[in-house]
Amino acid sequence: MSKRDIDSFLDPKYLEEILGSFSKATGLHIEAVNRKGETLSTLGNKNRSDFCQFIRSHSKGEKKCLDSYKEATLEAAKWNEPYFFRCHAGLVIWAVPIILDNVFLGSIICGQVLLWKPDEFFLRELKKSNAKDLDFDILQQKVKNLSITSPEQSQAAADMLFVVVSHLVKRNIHTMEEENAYHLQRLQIKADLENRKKQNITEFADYRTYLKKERRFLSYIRLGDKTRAESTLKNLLTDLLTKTAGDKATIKIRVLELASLSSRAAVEGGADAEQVMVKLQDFNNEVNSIERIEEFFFKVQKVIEEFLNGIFKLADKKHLSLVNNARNFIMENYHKPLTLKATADHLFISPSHLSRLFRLELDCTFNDYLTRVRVEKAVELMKKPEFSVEQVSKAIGFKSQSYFAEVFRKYIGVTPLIYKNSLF
Amino acid sequence: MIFDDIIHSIAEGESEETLELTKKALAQGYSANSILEKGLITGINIIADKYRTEKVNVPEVLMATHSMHAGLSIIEPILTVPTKKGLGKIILGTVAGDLHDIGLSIVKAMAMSAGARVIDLGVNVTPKKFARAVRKEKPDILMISALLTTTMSVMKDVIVELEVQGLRNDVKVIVGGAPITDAFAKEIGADYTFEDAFQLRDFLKENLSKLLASKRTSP
Repeated sequence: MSKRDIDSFLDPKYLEEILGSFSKATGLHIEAVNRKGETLSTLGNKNRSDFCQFIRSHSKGEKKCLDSYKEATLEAAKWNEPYFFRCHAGLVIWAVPIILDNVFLGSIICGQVLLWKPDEFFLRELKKSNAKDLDFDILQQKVKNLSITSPEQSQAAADMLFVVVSHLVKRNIHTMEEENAYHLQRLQIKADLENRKKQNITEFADYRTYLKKERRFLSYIRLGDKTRAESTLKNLLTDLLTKTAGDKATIKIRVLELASLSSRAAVEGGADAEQVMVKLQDFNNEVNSIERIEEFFFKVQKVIEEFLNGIFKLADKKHLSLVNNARNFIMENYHKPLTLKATADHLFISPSHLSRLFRLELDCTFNDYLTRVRVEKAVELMKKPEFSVEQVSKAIGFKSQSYFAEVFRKYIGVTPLIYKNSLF
Repeated sequence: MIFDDIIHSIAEGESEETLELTKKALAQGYSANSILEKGLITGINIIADKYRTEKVNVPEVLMATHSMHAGLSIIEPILTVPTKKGLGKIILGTVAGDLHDIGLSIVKAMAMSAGARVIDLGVNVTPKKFARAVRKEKPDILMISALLTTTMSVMKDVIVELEVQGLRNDVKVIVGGAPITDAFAKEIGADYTFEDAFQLRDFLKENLSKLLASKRTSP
């Protein structure tokens, strides 16, 4: 965008034309300010309140006003939404960011109102911050003329102004949706951390624990267990934030790793390799240009969700819930001598129907799937030194150890004994 | 019950009522501590919980905050036990990029009630400014607050700055804020963190003098 575009956007005449009537309709004072908090123009016919004019009549007061505006403008730009604040003199003001083609120009400042009747605490604070430079009796007099608006009215005015400004800068709906998603992501991370604190969850502190959780997460992907995969992923990301103390460079690397590991796991779980790799490529390109942690988290969760969806090609909801129930049943009972018939009975459907569903939704037979679950569990159990290969084989429901060895070799590439010996 | 009325007045943002009720509660003989804990903090927590589920808008939060501060202004002078020499000096502030002061004011009240001398740097404090204050004031404890997941990492910058300037060993660092967990505090090299302001208060009451004694004997 050229400098001329910026100038012409902030041209008072242009803004006046569009935002002037907003001020007239709401009776609220609005002004356009640049990034430094300096006022470019007052829009509409509502001047600055007497109170503000009086505060600004002293150079120190004016400096504080400017600082307040500057800070608010920066905050508004940071969150890309209306930012409410109380100025140094206690008034409630909100700033709506002006961001044109990703260039942050300034903000529209609106308000200079009170949300409450000026109480003794308010006056005491006002005295503390301004009485040195200004005649407090006059100031107190001017407080009486300030308008008081309700919180609903203020919020509504801010929302409306935001819509108007967004329209002016031609912000498209897609960016707004993404912003909203990031906002939710931030809330989600925070809620997660707060919950951990409340529940005193055994704390994660090292990468050993992190990698263990990562392996569990990947095995859920391979098994197409979306629910468990997604909740483990949330957990992993929160761990990551804690472990890296919010260091963006490290988080970026870990997130990229997670995405590529997940892509492989999804292919092993039955997703289409071509599609998965295209999605991964898109993800890598996108992540290159982003900066905020919540964006990393949002994007990686999104791409992994797509990977997981790729495992289920048909989106027939009714089938899916049956398959899910079957899968949960297998997860809980894999260590028993489980058959297609027993599982079908549990779901009150015929074995042939269940068999067909597995082919349709998971592109494998019931027995294939059961074996995969057992092998995943076997890998997990092998990492515990106290279990022998024989015990592992029994624990996951294999009757014959040699058959277990054969199956294990087929999936993992080496026999259970070699695998176990390589670990310790 | 007067505490319920205080809670209600904060949730509604009726600052004048909060002021009157706080005075009334004091006159009825309730301790400043119990008013803070069962009235003001409970009230603001209700708003914070509602905000988390997005049932309130920001102006309402501003109103509730104003009411809480109004109430706090009444009990703060009473809460503050006369600072005794030897009970230490505490500096506190919210990190750069973060403008939240509710938790900060509560923690400040708690620290004052423990008898320490408290210097409040306010909000949006840069690592350099924290370090400068530590160098100048030589506090026993530095308390750093962050409410946002996006500003948590600045806490680490503060500690690094203290290390770079060779000030880290002279001061105990306590970090706090809604998203701050034990694991995070440990990871960034802080000395302590607490689940909430009450735990901090209990800790200070019990350990402030011990902490200072151990600091004086250690080289």
